[in-house]
Amino acid sequence: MSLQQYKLHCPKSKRGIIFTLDAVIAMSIFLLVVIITTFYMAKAGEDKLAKINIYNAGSDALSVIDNKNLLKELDEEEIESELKNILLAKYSMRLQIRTNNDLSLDIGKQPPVGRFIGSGERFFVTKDNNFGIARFSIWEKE
Amino acid sequence: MAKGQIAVLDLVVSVVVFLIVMTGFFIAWNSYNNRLDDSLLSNEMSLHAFQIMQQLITTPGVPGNWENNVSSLKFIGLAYSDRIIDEAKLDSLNTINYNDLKNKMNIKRFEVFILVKQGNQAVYEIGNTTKGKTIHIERGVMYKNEPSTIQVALSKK
Repeated sequence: MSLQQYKLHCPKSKRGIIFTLDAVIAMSIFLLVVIITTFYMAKAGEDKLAKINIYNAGSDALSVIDNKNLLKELDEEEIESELKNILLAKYSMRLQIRTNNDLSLDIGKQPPVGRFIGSGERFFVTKDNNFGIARFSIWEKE
Repeated sequence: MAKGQIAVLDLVVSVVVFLIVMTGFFIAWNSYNNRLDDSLLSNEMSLHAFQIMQQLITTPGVPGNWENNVSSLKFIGLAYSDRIIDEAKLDSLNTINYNDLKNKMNIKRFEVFILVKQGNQAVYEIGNTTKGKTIHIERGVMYKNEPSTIQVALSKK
């Protein structure tokens, strides 16, 4: 739009803010870019390390239980007591153990909904030479 | 107000807004630059710490019996089997020069500290730490037939 055309179409009260309007639009775009960038940077900076640590804590606890031959014995009380000993107080863990002779053990509370749950499994052989699988779910307490 | 004055006022206001935008831009640029550098360093240190820890607690090292001849050590591992720490390997770690230890772990730029605990009691420690940025990793293992924790702390010189 030429200056002549602008003068013809633009009301008198709105004249004289061309530069300001331009700068305000630029500032709005800049602020928008800053807000979006900050949001994505914060999202990218989420503590991935904490999530890996949660998973490792569960995997290590199950490994210690297996290395102490508690999975072989399938003693629910022993496993539960050992879990309390080795797991850091900030974590909760659920252990589901199934064997091929239909024996099943569920130890620990149900995992909460809407939170990060680390999970994994480990295979083992029982004292009766049956095959078993132990699945763990671990999460941080509130 | 005369037409000429309106244009000048408009220019002044726009210049002020422009300066605010430019100042904000440079502050944001500087802040993001620092955060990006910090994040890159954290990622690098975390990756090293995780690799070192995994290597220590799940492998016996190369050669597998390096504790019998420490000079033959090519790759450090402390495991007798998966997440079971070999006492002899841990003892032999003390005979290795600290800088050689870092070289074997490929972390010349960082300081490393390894701590083994049973309950709240420290039963083994080796290495150095600094007051700079530090990454801590803790894992559960078996040591001397007891559930234990091993910690690796990697810090920037």
